[in-house]
Parts: sequence; C-alpha cells; structure tokens
Amino acid sequence: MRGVVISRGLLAGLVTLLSLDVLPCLAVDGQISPLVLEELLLWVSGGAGQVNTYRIPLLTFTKRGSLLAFSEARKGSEQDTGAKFIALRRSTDKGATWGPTAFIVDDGSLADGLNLGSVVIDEEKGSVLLIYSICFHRYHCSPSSTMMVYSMDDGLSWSAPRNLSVMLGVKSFAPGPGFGIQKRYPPAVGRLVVCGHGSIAGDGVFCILSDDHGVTWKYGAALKSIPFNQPKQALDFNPDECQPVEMEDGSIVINVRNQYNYHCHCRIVVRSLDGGESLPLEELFFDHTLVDPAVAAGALQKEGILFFTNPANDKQRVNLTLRWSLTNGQSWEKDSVQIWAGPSGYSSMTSLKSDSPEDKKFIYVIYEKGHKDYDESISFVKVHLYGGR
Amino acid sequence: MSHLLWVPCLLFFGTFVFGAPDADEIKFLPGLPKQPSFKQYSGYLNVADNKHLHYWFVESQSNPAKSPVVLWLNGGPGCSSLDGLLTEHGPFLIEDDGMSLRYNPYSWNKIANVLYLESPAGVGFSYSDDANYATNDTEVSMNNYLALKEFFRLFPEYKDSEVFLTGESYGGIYIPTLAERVMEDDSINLQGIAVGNGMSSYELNDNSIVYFAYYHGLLGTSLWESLQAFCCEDGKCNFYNNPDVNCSRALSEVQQILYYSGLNIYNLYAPCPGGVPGRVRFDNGQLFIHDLGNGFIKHGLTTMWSQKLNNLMAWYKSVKLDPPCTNSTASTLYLNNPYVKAALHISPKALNWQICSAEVNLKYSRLYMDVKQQYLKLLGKLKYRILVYNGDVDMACNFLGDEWFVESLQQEVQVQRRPWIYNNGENQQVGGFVKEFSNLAFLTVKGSGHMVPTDQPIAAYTMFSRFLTKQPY
Repeated sequence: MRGVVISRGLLAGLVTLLSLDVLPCLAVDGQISPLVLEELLLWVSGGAGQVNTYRIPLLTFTKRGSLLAFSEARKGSEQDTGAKFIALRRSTDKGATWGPTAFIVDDGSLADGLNLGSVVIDEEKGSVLLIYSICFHRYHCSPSSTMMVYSMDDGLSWSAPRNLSVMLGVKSFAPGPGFGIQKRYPPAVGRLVVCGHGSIAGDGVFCILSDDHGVTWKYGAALKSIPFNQPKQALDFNPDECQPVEMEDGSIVINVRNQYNYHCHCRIVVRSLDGGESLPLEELFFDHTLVDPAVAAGALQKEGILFFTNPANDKQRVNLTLRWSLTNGQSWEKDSVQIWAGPSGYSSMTSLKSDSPEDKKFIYVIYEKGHKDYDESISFVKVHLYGGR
Repeated sequence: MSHLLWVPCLLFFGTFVFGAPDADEIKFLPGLPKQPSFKQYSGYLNVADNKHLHYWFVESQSNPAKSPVVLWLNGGPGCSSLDGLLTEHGPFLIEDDGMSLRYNPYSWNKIANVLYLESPAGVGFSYSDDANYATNDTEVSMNNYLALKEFFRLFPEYKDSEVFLTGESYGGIYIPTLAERVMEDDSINLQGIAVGNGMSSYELNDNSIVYFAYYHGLLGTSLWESLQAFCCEDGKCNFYNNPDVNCSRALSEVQQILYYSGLNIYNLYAPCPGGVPGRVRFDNGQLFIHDLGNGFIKHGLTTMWSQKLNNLMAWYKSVKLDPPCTNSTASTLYLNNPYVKAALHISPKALNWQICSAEVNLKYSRLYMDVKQQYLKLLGKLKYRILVYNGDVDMACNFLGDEWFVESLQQEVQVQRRPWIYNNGENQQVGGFVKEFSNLAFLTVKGSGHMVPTDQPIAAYTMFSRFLTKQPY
C-alpha cells in the first residue's frame, strides 16, 4: 500500500503544478513524455543460424558507447533446458544499425545448457563481463556452474568461458536476467554486483560481488524463499528473477519476480543499503502498481528517474508497458507508455550516461515480442523521453 | 511404403507403371554380413531416348515416408557416384578385399532416402545406345533433371517428399546447374542444395590454391617471390589466366609440386595410396592418367597437355582415368563381380565399372566457368537452403576458393564466422568453421580432405543432419 499512498500524494502535487498552467514550460523543460521513436527486430526465432528460439534478451551500453544486445539462441526447442548459443549483436551508432549476430559461446549439445545471464560494464577497466549459468536445472547433469566470459575490446572478441563455481560453489545460480551494476556511489564504490536467483526449491534472490573487477567473486546478499529448500506451492514466498539498480543515494534497489504471487500479482521490491551485502526484510515491499504475471522485468535509473518495463497484466505475458517514477520507485507516474499490446515477455533496459544532451534524451528497451507467442522475436526499442522534441 | 499400393490407384487414373521399381529392388546384396532392414533399389533411369543412367537408391533407415530424398552426385567430370556410396556416406562401405561390405554407422541414409546416380552416360554402369560419350554441362544438367523426373515417376510415393540436391567436386557445377532446372518444376519439392569441396569457379579455385600451397609450406620463399613478382600487381594476383610468361613458368612449378610431386591432392596430410605416382602410367597396353583436368585450365601448358591426351586416346586401346592417389581397386573388384552386377540389375550393355571414365572426362565440354548466376538465382527465390562445405586440407577444390566464391555472392551475413562443434562420441570437438548468410552457409570441416564423409565421418554426418533438419550448425 505504501507505493499507492505516496503516488497519490505526488499526483496531487502534479495536479497543482498543472493547474498553475506551467505545462508547456514543463514539457519543454524536462517533463517526461516517452515516445517510441524506433523499433527494430534484432532476432526472429527460426531466423539467423536456424536457431529454434531466441529468448532472454539483455542490453547494455559499453564504456565506449556501443550497444550490445545478447540473447539465448536456443538451438533445438523453445525450452529453458537444451543446447544454446549466446548470441550477440553490436551497434556502434546507438542502435540505428546493427552488426550481424555473433555466437560468442556455444555449449555444444548439452541437455541442460547455458542460461543468461547478467551483463556488467566495468567502467573503471572498460571491460564487459557476462555472467551466465550452465546446468542450472540439473537436468541430466550435475553440478551447476556459474560461468563468466569477458571482453576487453568493446564486445568485439570474448574470452574463453571461466567457471566461477570454483569460488562460488555449485549452488544453482541464474544471474539476472538483465544487467549487473558497478557501484558509482558509496558504499563500496567500484564493486561489481550481479544479482540472480536460485533453483526452485532453493530459490530466492542472491547477489554475487566482486571488489577486484571480476577476478574474484563471493556471495553477498540473499533473500531466501519460504519454505527454503523445500517444494513450493501456490502463494508461497518465492523471490526469483531480478534486476538491481543503483539509486543516487548509493542504495541498490532490486526489482524482483514474485514467482508464486505471494501477497499480490505484483513485483517484490527489496533494497540493499550496504552495497549488496544484505537485503533486510525491513527494506522489502510489494509494489501493487507494478502488476505482473511473474516474469523477468526491466528496471533502470537515469538521472534520478526510475524506469520499469514489464508485460503489465496480472496473468498473461501481454501489454509490454514502460512506467517511470520521479520518487525512486516510491510511486509511479499515472501515465505509462504501452510499447506493445500483444504477447511480450522478458525485457531489459539501458541508457548511455554522458554529458551530451543527446544521450540524456534516450533510453533503450529490449524485449521478447510476438503476435501469437511472446517468444517469436527479440525487439529493440529506442525511446525518446521527451516526446520526440 | 509398398509400391503395390500405388498400382491400382495409378491404373485407375490410366497411368501404366512398368515393372520398375519392384524389378529394381535389390533382394540380396553379396558381401554383407546381414541383409539390411531398409529397402534398396538399383536399376536404370532412361532419359533422352537413348541414355540409361544407373541409379542405386537406398531408403532411409528412419521412416522413409517422412525422410527427405537426397540426390548425390560425385564429380569428375566422369566419375561415379557409387564411389560416394561405397567409400563415403553409403549405408555400407567397401572393405579392402573387394568382396565384403561393412555397415557404416554414419551413413547419410540414417535420416534420408539417398539416390546415387551415375551420371552422365558413360560413367560407371550408365551407358547410351549410341555409345557417344561426348557431352557438356548443359546436356548433363538436362539429363540429370530428366533422370530425377524419371525417378519420381518410378517412385511416386516420394513425389511430395522434400528434395535436396547434393554432390561433391565437379558436383559443384552439376548441382547448381541441375537445381536451376529443378526450381522451375513445381512438381519437385526442392528444399536446398549442398556442395562439398565443389568446383564453383575455376578462377577462384586457381587463385586460392596458390595461397593455400604457399601457406601450407609447399612452395618455398623463392618460388613465392617469383609468383609475387610476375603474377601480382598492387597486391592483387592473377594465377588464373595471367599472360605473363614468367608467371606461367612459376605456375608450372606450382603445378608440378601440387599435382606431380607425389602429394595426395585430395588430402594434403594423407599418404598417397600406392606411393608416389607418375603423371601417366602404361600397364598391360593401357594408358593410365591421373588428372581430372580441373586445375589451371587457362594455363598454356595445361591446354597443350590435354590436347596431347586427347590425341593419345586414339592410339591406345583404352585410356584409364584413375584419380590421383586414389585406390579404387576394392570398389572396382566388387562392382564388376558378376553376382553383384546381377544383384544390381546391371545391363549387359553397360561397360565394366570404373571409378572414372577417361572418355567422358576427356571429351567433356566445360561450359560454365563459375556458377555464381545459379547460386544467385536460387538465393533469389528466398526459400532454398544452400550449404557449401569444404574439407580444409583438400587441394583439388580447396576451401579458400569456395570461401571466396561464397563471399563473392555478397549476401547479408546472418551469423559471423565461428567454430562449429560436434560430439565425436567421447566429447565435444571443433568440427571446423561456419559463416552463415541468409539461406546460405559456408562451412569447413577441419582436417578433412576432398571426400569429407570418408575423412571425418562423424563430423560430416553431424553437418549433414543439421543441414537437412534445419538445426543450427
């Protein structure tokens, strides 16, 4: 209820502002009014490389300002298990044109192959790190592995996969899906924080941390499911896929999939005040505005504004919607932008942080989009935050 | 799959079906430890009034009705596709004794109905009534097309099956020129083509082999410097039809090394069966030649050489064409065994089986210098899938030439060049590299020579099944 109450308060404030007849001024002066300026399908299932299904899109800017889009290229079926490639496309002109697909990781013919994933940009080193799992479901394989590949050249070439389980243990950990963060504000400036979730019985939100640019990793915060390590049933508390964002006060807000609709058909939001070391229950709330069918959603903080994308529907994966909050997620603006009315699934967002006015105008969304099923394609959207003006 | 089922139906529509294919069914094939569980047929597809093309059709080991029909053509020109069956990807392969066959666990008919066609007439057991074996690319593609039509007439139960046209070597010319005809015929459900170590462009093949040879350590620096000095300008080399006499001389040296020094042209890293051969050999009054005449055809000395060979044809009671460093003794013994011939329903009018026909090869008119137009036409339909695959240590049709050829088609890249992985039964290995364009893939098979399924059977089968079933490489 917390979110709703505050949102009403803000709305009242806005109404007051509008009644003072300053709307034109606001519109010019930075009133958020998102507009889908361009949309492009980056992958079509059954398309490039005869891949059965493209799913789980990730999107990030590199330090040099290139856009990298990743997805799972599921070789033989649409299932979460099975053999896959990690597909990558790269744009050096902020999404206007894209290079051909590169398969940067090939798991061969594994019955329970790789799963994406979380992409992290280390601004200090200029590197791109991609964390993913292998054998997450332990289907015809054991144990699970948490894997990493990295690029030192803006995503052009990639390291051999490195198994982080040596440091992290073999607990099933599915990073993201989405992006990880590098802490810009204290505490723990420079730290890499990658959050994800566990397997169904041992599910929950878990974050892995690196204070040496990805060389070593350790487990940090955990928000465990209840009952933990036991089979779940409907309405159990089961935080799952998640997207962390760093707020300007240095806290990390994690927007979480509420797998079994505990308390509501809406998102769980939880906050870490210590750089991803802990996720205290006191910092957890259910965001009733963010109605959700249990899905991986996108979240992004840009210049004090929090953005959120998901298929806004309590049961079905349809109606991909962009929302924004001027109050760090305490409330959401009444207006929202529908990006796609039809079937839509996982989504992720990025934007370029720079001093250029151009870069302040845009955020970029990637999401699963279809006409009949949401896994028909992966779509890239360029959103102008100020109504195209 | 009984053909009998079709007979009443066809009679009802007034079509008369001749004895085939029941008469063509191979009831008992000598040399097998156990007769196969799939059906196979051997007989003749009669085309153009007087030509009788021998086929051997092996039904799929997994649900023939649902498996595609795959045509396979070996090259030459003038070489027999039964070499593909018995030594490459057939359901059983010939043993050295020339008597027995062993089952091939990586047979392409595990997932496809494979039609092996001996083409053109004069090759293997194929013959023509007038015994005139001079032919050319256009006539061959027409007769192959007619043979395919004839096949579907004899096997109407396959008329709706997906069809893939595949081949090797000079099949690089046969297959796209045949596909060009088949794509105009709606009654054939063409899905795609695959060409292994194919001749796609004489120019690119000649130009690339020189680089291949130098960078595989075959040429040495002083020869390379001569080639650079006499054949190249501003970093661009013409090893194909360079008029420069010094370039020609340097290229003769290249040819000497590639073709006549004793290297196995079909697999740089394989020994030459029978040891280092000469260019020609006289044996028992017969002249043996070992050159299919595909390399450096625009080169002065090559032209003189083939004219000389053609003249010799008249003098020797027969000229035999044995591809270099190829031991075809076992296949020849087996296929000329009277019991085998009877099992295969070979006509008494057919010649003795040889792996390649010197007559067909030497009298052959090459009309296409490249098959770029055919590929572009196929790609333009936006519905056919094309696989160009190359064993990467073959020197007859080297991978680089075909890679350049595929690049020259200037298609949109779909997936960047990358290693492709297969399971060799123990673990995952790199099979080679693949670059994918819209409906077109160029794929190398690492460590394989010209006959990819012979050299790398597991990788080849993996590649074939991914191509056929539309799986990612």
